[in-house]
Amino acid sequence: MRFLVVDDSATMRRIVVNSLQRVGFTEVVEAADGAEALEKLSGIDFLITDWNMPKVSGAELTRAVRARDDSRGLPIIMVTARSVRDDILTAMEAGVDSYVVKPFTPQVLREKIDAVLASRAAA
Amino acid sequence: MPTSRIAEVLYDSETVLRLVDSELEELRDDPADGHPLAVLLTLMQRANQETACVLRTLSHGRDALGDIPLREIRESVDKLTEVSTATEAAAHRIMDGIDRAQGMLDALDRLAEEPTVNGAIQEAMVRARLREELFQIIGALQFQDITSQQLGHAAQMLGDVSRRVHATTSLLGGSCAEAESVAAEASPIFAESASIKDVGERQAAADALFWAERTRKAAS
Repeated sequence: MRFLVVDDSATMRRIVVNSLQRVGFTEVVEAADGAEALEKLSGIDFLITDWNMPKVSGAELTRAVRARDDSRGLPIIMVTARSVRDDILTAMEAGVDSYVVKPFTPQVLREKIDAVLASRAAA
Repeated sequence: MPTSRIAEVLYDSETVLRLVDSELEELRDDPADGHPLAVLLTLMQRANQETACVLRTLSHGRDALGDIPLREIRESVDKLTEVSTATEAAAHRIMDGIDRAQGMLDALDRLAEEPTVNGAIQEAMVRARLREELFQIIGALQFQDITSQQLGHAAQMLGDVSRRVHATTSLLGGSCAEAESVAAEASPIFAESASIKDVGERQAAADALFWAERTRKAAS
């Protein structure tokens, strides 16, 4: 399974990539913002994105992914420091499949990935 | 000085000036006072009008500032305090993790120096714990992203205070080149709720909201 990790913080991208590798996912591509991510969607099986990013935010990226025929069904998890109710609802309305609050543990990330994949398989 | 007290002072000042203006009008219209007094009264009337104009400008300046800058300064102080606490806590987690990792390296050295029957198994266990410990240290570095958001939010609020001060300075007829440049800067967006505190509770709340919304949509 090939992951695309999107975050404007190089430190956070390393941590997310490290977490994915820790829980068994080793094929990972990185992008520093939503605009770059939209150019790297080809061949991606799962998208993990931050929210606050320059050019294109995580919510805007999610809406753009859902609007494209070739990526509409891509699993998306938002990993973000935002945790108020309105933000979570906005992310849901944009089309994310799950939500991880920073700071997170690899175990939480793995649980969310497994839950999204199981939900897709059941649907 | 509290905002209500400022309003009272302005109101009282304007009322007194109107009374003075009224008295001056009566004196100026009185023919028994003669020419020199009339000139003096005209000058005092002009001074009275200019003072009233200054008071109106101060009132507009007060409106431009409002109560928001004080609240934003307080919130900025809170955010900066939290940043200090978060960085200290993260530093301790990292140092504690390094201490434990060093202990595991010592254990591996001892196992290498004094081989035992199940030494290979023990070494593998210690190495596994060492890898986990090193990974936890990496995870602790998430504080950098969180504190970056908090500092950005504090800077954004202080920028807003600066713009209000600039607006007030302009109203009073002054110029402040430094305030102008700060006022003109576009503010990027930061996560106001970014924090390292209570992450378990916040994640649980997010999960509950997701589940509730999914259930509601599925039912509708």
